Amino acid sequence: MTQSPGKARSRILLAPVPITPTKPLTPSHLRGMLWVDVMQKATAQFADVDCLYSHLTANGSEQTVGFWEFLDREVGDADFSVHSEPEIGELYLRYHSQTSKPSYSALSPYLRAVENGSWVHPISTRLYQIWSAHAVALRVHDPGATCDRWRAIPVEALIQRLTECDLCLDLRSKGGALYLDLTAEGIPLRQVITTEGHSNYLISLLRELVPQIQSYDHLILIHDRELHADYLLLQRILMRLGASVDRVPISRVAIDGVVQSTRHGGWQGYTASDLTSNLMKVADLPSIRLGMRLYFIATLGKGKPGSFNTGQLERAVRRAKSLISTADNRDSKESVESFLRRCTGRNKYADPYKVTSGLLSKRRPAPFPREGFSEWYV
Amino acid sequence: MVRLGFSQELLRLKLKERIQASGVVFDDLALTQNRIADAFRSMSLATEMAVVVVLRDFIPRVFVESCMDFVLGLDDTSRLGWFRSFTRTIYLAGNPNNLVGRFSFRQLAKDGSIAWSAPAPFASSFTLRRLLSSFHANIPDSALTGFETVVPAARLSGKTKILYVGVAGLTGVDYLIHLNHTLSEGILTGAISPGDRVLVRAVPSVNGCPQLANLRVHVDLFDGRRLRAYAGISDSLAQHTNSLCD
Repeated sequence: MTQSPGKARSRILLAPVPITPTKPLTPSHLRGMLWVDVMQKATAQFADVDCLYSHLTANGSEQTVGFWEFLDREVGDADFSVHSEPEIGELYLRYHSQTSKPSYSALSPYLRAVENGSWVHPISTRLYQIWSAHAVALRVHDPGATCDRWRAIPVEALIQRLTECDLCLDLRSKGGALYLDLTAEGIPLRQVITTEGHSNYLISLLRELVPQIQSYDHLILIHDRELHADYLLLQRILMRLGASVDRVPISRVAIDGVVQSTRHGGWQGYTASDLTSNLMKVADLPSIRLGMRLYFIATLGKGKPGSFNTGQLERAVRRAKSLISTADNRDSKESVESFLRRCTGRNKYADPYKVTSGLLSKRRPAPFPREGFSEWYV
Repeated sequence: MVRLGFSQELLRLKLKERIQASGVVFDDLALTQNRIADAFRSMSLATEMAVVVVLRDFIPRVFVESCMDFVLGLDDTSRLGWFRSFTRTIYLAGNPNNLVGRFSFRQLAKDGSIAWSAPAPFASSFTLRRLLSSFHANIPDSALTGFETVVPAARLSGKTKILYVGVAGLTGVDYLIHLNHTLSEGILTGAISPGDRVLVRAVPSVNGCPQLANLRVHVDLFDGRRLRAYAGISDSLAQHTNSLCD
């Protein structure tokens, strides 16, 4: 996209909420991944866009290390190399059905390993492999791909920075906890480090995001709507530290009318593996790639999406196939640049919903992204 | 014969005296029959006045000094209302620096680490309580070592008071609770006066300090069927070198 001469492109960092490598990818995860992908590719047409996918947060979360500890204790040594997504999902449900939580000392070696970046439980390695294959098929960012660029600052360095700005309350030396403190803005205290010294995911995210503030003009936090309160807190803290931050909440997708966290199940038959293998029986990969985006972004829409509907997804894939086959005859007078500017409006990023529904629009047909020709959409 | 500890009978008497001083109706029989939980449950206050204390750190001497400033600064109506409400106090973790813009506090510690709200109906502190978290900490070493201070006044009174807190089994907040009640009520009743030198001492149990007055009596945390004296005030050092304390 041409800017006025001499004007530098904006530097934008997308930070999607990381998915813990403990469970199958569900329709909700797919929606998030596709949303971020469209945002990244479209926005990259007029800005320099990077994506920070935090493995420190994904691997270091209590869910993940707790799952690893459970497996080593209850399942023991096993070869996980041929485990399927649903099989791993079943183990995850077993983990969550436990009544007692592991002690902090039991989790210590796992947390240490994540901090060092030196060891990943084979079940997560297996999941990342499966997800990589999905990512390649759908042409989205691979959640398993590690990136050396993101260096987290040490916990104490983060706390010092926060303390200097009255953004945290540290009672650890007195036998208390550590809280993020935005009470000056009417936001309640949020405990992030326990009395025993266990940090939660917000600390991990801040450790990775804070050092990036000076390198980017804008940070965009993409998250589940359910994490609204935490992400609002993150946004405000980053802003107090000098960043320009936007939040993009994305609603989860219900299955059979029920929206619930993966730990409660209900995803059986609806995992990414299930969906793609079913679709491969009836369509080719380019149609599936485009169709998934049309369905998860435009059909399900921005607000609270309806229940996942296989029929609607298949319809979207058929529509995609038809759009691809008539691409050459498409009568769009609009340039990609102008179209994306329309989809950005006052935002710093191209709105994936506007971009996707623009592609479907008959009234004002948007330019069509040809595979391999331009990468601004797929 | 010199007493060697507080009998349950004596503790019941002291507790009863304190409840009566608040002018509150309660189930006397339950207390006599050691149904202590029932006795407490039976107490109801028409309007309970509570104070909220916000702490961003835990330095007992700073707490004591700000507590004294706070109590001495209260007007008669507040003093009476709060005393009648058993000097009810809620302890919250928070940074007063971040709150003074939105909330009006009656007293701030000199280093800004503690803020006290004026005695008010419990419901009125709802917003503050929702914003902050309950205060949790360990008893600091300086509490166990002991420290001293002077009640603010134009001149020294020449008197020394010793405030003992029995810390066996107590959390940091428990320590604050018993210290605060004893100190505040000591000032409100005149047991501690402006210009007095105050020594704050920790002992495992004040049952080993039988000459204490102004006993702070409540349910024994080790056994709900018993009462325990958690703190008290003594008049002089001399008295105590003869007893089992210090």
